Amino acid sequence: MTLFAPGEPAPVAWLYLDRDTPDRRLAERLDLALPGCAWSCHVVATGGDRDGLLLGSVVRHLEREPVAVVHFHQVVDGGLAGAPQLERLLGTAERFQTEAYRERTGARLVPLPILEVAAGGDPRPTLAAAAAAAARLARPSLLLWDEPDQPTVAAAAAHGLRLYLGSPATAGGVVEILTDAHVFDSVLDRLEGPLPLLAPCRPHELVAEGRVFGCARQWRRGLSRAGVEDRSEPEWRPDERLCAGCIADTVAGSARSVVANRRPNEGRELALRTSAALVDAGSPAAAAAVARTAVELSVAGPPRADALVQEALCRLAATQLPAADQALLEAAAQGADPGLVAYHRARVQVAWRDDIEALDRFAEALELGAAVVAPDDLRLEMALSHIRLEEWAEARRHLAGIDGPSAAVAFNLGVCEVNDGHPERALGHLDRALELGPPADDLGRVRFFRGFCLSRLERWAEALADLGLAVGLETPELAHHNLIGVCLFKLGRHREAAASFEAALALDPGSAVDWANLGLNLERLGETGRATASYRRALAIDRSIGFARDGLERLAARPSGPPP
Amino acid sequence: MRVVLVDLHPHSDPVTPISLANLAAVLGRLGHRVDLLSLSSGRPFSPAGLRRFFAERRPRLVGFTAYQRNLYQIRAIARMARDEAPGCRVLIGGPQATFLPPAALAALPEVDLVAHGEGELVIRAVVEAIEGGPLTTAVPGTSTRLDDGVWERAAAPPAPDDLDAYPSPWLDGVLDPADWDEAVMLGSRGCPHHCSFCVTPAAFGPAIRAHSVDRILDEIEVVARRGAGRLWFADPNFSYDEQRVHALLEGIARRELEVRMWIETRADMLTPELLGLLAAAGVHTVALGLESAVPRVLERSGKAIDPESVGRAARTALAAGLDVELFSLYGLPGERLGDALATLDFVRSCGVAIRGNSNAQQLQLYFGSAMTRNPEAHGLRPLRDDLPPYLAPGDEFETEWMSRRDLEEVRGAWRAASVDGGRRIVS
Repeated sequence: MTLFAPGEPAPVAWLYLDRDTPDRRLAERLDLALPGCAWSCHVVATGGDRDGLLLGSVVRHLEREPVAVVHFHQVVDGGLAGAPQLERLLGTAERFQTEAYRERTGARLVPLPILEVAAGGDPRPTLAAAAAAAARLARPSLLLWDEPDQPTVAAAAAHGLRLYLGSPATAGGVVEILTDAHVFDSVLDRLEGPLPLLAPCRPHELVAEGRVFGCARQWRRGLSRAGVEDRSEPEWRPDERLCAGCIADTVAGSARSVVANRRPNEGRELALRTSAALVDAGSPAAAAAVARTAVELSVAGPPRADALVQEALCRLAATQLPAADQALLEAAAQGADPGLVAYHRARVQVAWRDDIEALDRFAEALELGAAVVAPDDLRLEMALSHIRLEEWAEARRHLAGIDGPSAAVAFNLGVCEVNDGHPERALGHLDRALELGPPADDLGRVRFFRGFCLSRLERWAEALADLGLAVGLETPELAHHNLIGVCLFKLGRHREAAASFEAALALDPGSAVDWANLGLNLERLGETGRATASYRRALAIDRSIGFARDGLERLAARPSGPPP
Repeated sequence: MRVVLVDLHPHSDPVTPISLANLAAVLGRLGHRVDLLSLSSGRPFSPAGLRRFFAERRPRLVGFTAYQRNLYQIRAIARMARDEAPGCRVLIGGPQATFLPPAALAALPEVDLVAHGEGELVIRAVVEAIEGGPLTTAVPGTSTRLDDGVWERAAAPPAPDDLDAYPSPWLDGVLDPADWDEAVMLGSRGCPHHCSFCVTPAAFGPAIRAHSVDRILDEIEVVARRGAGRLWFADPNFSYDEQRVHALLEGIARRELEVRMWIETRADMLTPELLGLLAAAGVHTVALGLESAVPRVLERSGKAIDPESVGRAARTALAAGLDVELFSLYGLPGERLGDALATLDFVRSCGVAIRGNSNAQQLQLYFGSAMTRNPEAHGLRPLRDDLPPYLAPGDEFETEWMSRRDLEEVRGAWRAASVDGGRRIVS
């Protein structure tokens, strides 16, 4: 059998070392951690490493393990104050570059200085320093605390420099900026790969405030795993429950950086796909925030229209209905397919439970024609709105207009017919639906309505069989228990009937009719005390239930003794 | 005996280590305990973990597939293995080892044996020799550092004509298809052509030797049933024998195997009928060796093919619904800047997307090719004389017709035309 990572997994590819922990402590941590890190790993020193202790630890590791490669990201002052640290980094890397040239391999110490320009500072000298570092085979980038002007963005692009952008609002400082970039890059890499977008990002560990954190998200939440001085084997696994939220926040907040680094198209694509993944993962509100970023990164016209529709769908899923409708109106203004907009606006109305308004929108969509929504789908939606409005004839008219056999059409025709008082006809439609094979999710509904029709036809045993199947296929609701109880009562199986009504009451203790039904069955079982109590509960909730009142009177008139 | 075989891709995702797996299958049949390591940047391993692994396993032999690109890391891991498992021997094989110049041996103190012959035969001989005690004579098919420190070379044993003489790593369970998104298959070895930039004829000989169709079908069946069903045929000439290809494709259909396949072959072997059969059997991509669109350049490199026939084959394959990749090189003997750019235009004119393997690469001078043996005779001028003797010039050369700057210009033109940023998939 093939082994891919012998001995143990080596998940820690990135180590973030924050400036608020003494360098000596960080160097000790590095000495401990590096041998167990992935052979090619990244160390990110945000504090300048003034005495070169961290760089020294890295060099010791590389000397001990010639198979290892360390990418050393070091935040240094982009002005004269940082020159000594920058020179030390570049000078130390030179021997590894010489080795790489000699052996025709990659350098094992890759210098990645992050040149910081303080708020209000002039970026030009730093740009010059970055260009000089690049000429010495470093891969520099710039960390800016002001909004970059156009010449700075252009110069950075010309030199292939990445821009990290901070602002006074960046509560987590340099670490937050760099770890956001880390998460963003991890997810961006997946656009072309097999990994799901919401999987944990490149493994990393963060040391800050003297504590060790399993990832940036855990740091933000204060969930540390150990003190920096802890020598025990740490657990490297990320807390995957936090990943989707972390990725969502990062992508949603990426627009400014993406624009400054001239990658709006990739950023937009990533935001759209992340948003879709978040919807699939059951996080529509986060998805909507990410889709909003896609909108911001889209040029006017069809790209923005597509992003707005995506945002609207997320907001619809998150039941942010006014915002969903607003996004659709904006999409229309950007030239989105009018039929598609009308269709989704109708769905918003459905979510609002305004089927009358929804029907107008569906009709509009049908008239305008939506490229990606089939007319038959619109007719079905309209039929469903009419069904919710209990307008059975109108619903049937739309269903009749749908071409070709469809289990959904047959099922809904059945629903219309039974509710319109034609259980026999309904049964025919439901049997046709079963023949056509409804989707697995709908099969339980078909069985339930079949049971309902059969009960209307007083075919109790058959009804019971279908209802039993329905209970196995979908989560039982009050109606299931109630109808099953009725069938059992009619079949004289009072003990089981009573149990069904008790199950119904467990779901809704305020169901007067189920209290009454329970009372009736208990009465038949001779449990007069409990029967009386059940009738009383029913009447306390709804005094109009005649058979409960009759039952109470019967029990009151009956002489005490065994049941007849 | 305990053996560790290491396949190392320091700059890419793991690739099925088919060659080492073949050796592991041989050793497995002989009752040896073999660990096959697939190390790559895509599946991170730690130095500490690797050290612990060697210390726990205590192998008596560690073998590596050596390429120009991974020799530095191989040396580092070999030192690590010797530190942690004192007394273990280190064997290197693969393309870099097969043609390693004698002068390089002394510069590789971490290595004890260098394989020159067919791996399945060499590994067996090496293990037997190590079990036999001190190495006092060279192991057949290797250069061996004898226990007195002297290097000695012994001729390789003759390789069998029928490759079915070797056990299958897929059928013996050495490789688990479930581990791989795409399984590499090797159904034949050897090439009858004499392209002067290529090492294949020298490595495997001019005659094509092959596994039987049934054996390959058995392997495909295992991969299709247990794995992702994506196959990558490493045969240099998949369709060299039309009858055999037909039998293979019919066998796939008969056994109802659902597979997706990548194959490489020569354009002049592809007929419209065969392309239709390939598509029906699940071939999704056909890779063709173009090298250059300029007949004069091809002729100088010993590549006897007409570029127009490559173009026709590419277009026919595209029309048949297959994806097409065209391998091409720049920096070939006799090629001028305009010729190299004409090749780029030609590839585009065929309708082939510039991505994956269709991104051209500069000619590489590796040990074993006719060009590397005598670059000057081909008008090639290596730029460095300070390389360690175990490294070939690779791409560090100019030609009589193109300067370094010209070569950079061609590289830039290809990169600009690429839709995937110049990423190559195979090599």
